[in-house]
Amino acid sequence: MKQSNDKPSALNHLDNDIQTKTEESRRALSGMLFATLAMRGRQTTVADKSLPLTILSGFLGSGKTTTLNNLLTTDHGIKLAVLVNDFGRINIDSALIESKTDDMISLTNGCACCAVSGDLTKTLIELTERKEVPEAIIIEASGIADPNGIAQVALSNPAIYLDGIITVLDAENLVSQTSSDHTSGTVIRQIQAADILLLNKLDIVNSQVRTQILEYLEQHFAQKVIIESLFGEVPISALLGQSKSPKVKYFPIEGSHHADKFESVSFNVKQPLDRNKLNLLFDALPPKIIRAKGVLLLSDNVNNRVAYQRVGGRWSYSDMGAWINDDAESNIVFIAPKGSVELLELESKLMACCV
Amino acid sequence: MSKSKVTVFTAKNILTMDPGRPEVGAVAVLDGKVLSTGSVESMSPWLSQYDWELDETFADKVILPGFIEPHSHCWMSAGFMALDFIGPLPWPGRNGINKPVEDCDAIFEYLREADKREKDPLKPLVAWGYDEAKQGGNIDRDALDLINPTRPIYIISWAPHLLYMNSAALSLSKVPEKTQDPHIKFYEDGRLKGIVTEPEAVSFAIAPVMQEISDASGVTGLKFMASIANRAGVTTIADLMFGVLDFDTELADHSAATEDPSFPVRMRLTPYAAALNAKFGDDAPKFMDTLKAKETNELFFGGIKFMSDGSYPLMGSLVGFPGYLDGTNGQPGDSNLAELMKPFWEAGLQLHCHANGDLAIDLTLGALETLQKQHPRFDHRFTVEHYAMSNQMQARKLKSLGGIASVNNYFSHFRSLLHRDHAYGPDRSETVGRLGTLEKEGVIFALHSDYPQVVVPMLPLTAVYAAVNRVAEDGKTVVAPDECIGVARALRAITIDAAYILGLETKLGSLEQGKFADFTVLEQNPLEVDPKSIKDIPIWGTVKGGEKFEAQE
Repeated sequence: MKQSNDKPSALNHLDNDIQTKTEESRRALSGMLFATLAMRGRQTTVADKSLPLTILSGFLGSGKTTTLNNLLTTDHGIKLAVLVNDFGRINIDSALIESKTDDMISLTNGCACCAVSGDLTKTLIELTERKEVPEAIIIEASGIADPNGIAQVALSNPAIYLDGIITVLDAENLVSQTSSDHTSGTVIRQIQAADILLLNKLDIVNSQVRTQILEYLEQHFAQKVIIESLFGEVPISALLGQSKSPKVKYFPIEGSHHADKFESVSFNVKQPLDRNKLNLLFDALPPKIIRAKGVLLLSDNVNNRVAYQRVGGRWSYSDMGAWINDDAESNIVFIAPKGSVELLELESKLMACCV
Repeated sequence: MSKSKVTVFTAKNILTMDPGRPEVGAVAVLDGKVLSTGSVESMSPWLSQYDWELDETFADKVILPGFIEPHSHCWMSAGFMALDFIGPLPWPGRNGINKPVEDCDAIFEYLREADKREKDPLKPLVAWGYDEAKQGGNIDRDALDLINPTRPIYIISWAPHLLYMNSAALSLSKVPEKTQDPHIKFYEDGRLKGIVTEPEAVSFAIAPVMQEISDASGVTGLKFMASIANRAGVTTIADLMFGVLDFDTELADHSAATEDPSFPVRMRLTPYAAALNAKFGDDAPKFMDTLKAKETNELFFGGIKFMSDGSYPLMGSLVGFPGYLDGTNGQPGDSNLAELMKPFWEAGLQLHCHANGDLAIDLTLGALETLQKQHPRFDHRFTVEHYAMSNQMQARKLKSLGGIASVNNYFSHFRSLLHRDHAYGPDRSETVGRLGTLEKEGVIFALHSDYPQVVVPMLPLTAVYAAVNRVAEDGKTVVAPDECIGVARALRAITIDAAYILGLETKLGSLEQGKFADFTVLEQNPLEVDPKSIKDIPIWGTVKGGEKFEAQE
């Protein structure tokens, strides 16, 4: 172990961390400027703020790749574009691969995995100018990156909105990572930036470590939503929001062992809802609710569909334009660990928002 | 007989970098080129052939061949440099390294001065680097309005997902007065507080600033960067990332800027291989012919750029055993280097390969070795760019394969202590930029800054200071003193040897007959001052093609 005193350097840990933070910031700002330059005169083939972006963050070895492999190959019906630094560690069953080039693997399920060779901005522009635009984008952040910086750069593309930041944590090594000078700054920033913490490798730690980690997270990051995963498998419905494409999708809880742990509760409300009352309800939802999403019929905007998204403690509305071929009515789904949502209570609160 | 006018510049010392006549007192210029060096008396056989005039502006100064910055990124970085830095640590600015801004009061002081300095009352003032944890204080709308309520003022925190704005900025960014968005902050009385948080809200609020900065890029940005170079004594800049956004736009901007007679530097552009391949496919190597046809005396094209790892200060270098202190390692660069390089190598082009860590240098040398086996070449000038963390045998191998090095040796002065316990560990960080070994092994090398992509300034005299002293950032510690080189060699590395690396050694880098009359004018002689004060030598400015460019603030 390292010596605690007698540091040869004139710079202490705090200064090191400021240095790192500043360089992260510099990288993000440069990236944003570069993206602004690159976007000039560009026409995306999709509407503004219509493509959901999920950033998958996490320190080296935390299990991001396993999670990505699952996202790519699970049969969820969503056309995902997954952006990774290099293909090397992505491991997809060859039967699922439709075609492969130097920088893209296309899968038979409509998903694609793209290698970002250095320039995220360009890759995103190419994706949003394609004829076949994906329904959701996932970016794998490098192990040492601050996901907020990546979000900032990606959001310079007007087609994209931020659906959520998911930080994968390595249960086996989290304690040492957050106590080492060399890694704590990075790991803590990744946790702070997250909407959802995905706690990996819980299956291989003993109960003492498990308790220690949960207490640590409870003490320092009480507001964060935590999903415990087994063997990198997680319910996709919890990780991804809904596509804003006209055919709105709800993701059912898939796979038997997820169904044991998570549940989704959906409501259909025919009467228009009052925005102010809903605001209060949505603000007061318990942090246990990992995700909520839906299309709303609001009394002050009855001609248009309004999308509602909640990830972690963050939520927003967005206007999706006029109702097309749909019945004008509200549909909302809440996803939470099994048994943590009072179904009846939620339903009565929601009904109380009707005009 | 020609009636062209000759100008004879005299100076206290003129260091020519011509080993046959290293130090002279006068240099005669004809048509922007060196006609003769020596004394007014010795060059009389020439002077009797022309009308000539004496220019004694530099009579008490020292002239060197114009400094060459062989690796920088002007076009894509100009916008970024327009931002003011207010963070709590030393940072490269427009005039070298800015001092840390200690606390919130000092930030306000800085902003008041910046506000006074800018004559256009509506031009937004954008500063970044505020670290509340370290600098304290309360920055919000009311505090910023005290500086100036009508000029938009934006403060970006060190993490660029916190943005502070005054009233004018709030209205420029059209931040809604009423919203349920939790990332837009309000005072208790319901007024906007001028603080927005998190990527989505910040992206929205910062958009007008980014647009304004991107509008000010291009030719304006290049002129801004050239003025920074001029103050540093630089007369030629190489940009090693040409075409990263769009070849046509970048080419048009560089042509327009360098055609302007008031533009104080020559430029040499190196296209990035990945961008070339994306645009031209198999025809990529031929694009250099198109570019060469567009060359002027002020704008050159040469070399193809490759990457073999990530950034040194952003801790992306690939290193060998045992990796970083925390057990991780850096990011890979281009995959299949030799394969990627092959068509350009076989087309007879020069290759520049970015390599910071020793593992990346191994990959780079391995690629060069493969290329030499398949298609041997002489005088190919394959250049390892940065050459930050190397071992002694890599210098020998580089030599044996005929390669050369463009070294970012500023790191020994700015980062060598930091990285002892940050990523790389003492062994690699202290020996960063092994110029002594390169010299011993007979490798030709240049010194570069990579400005402003890494955390060092573009100041060739500081590079010389770093090369000869290897004093670390604390101003005391000497790191790996055996890797120091002498002043004379270090000066070659920012002039003639840098020109050699750019393939421009017949035109630039020394004061010899027929070369461009590009000078750096100093107040003191770097060969005579205490080597520890080389970086503090005042710079009068430059001469490009016989035209004087006095450094302007």
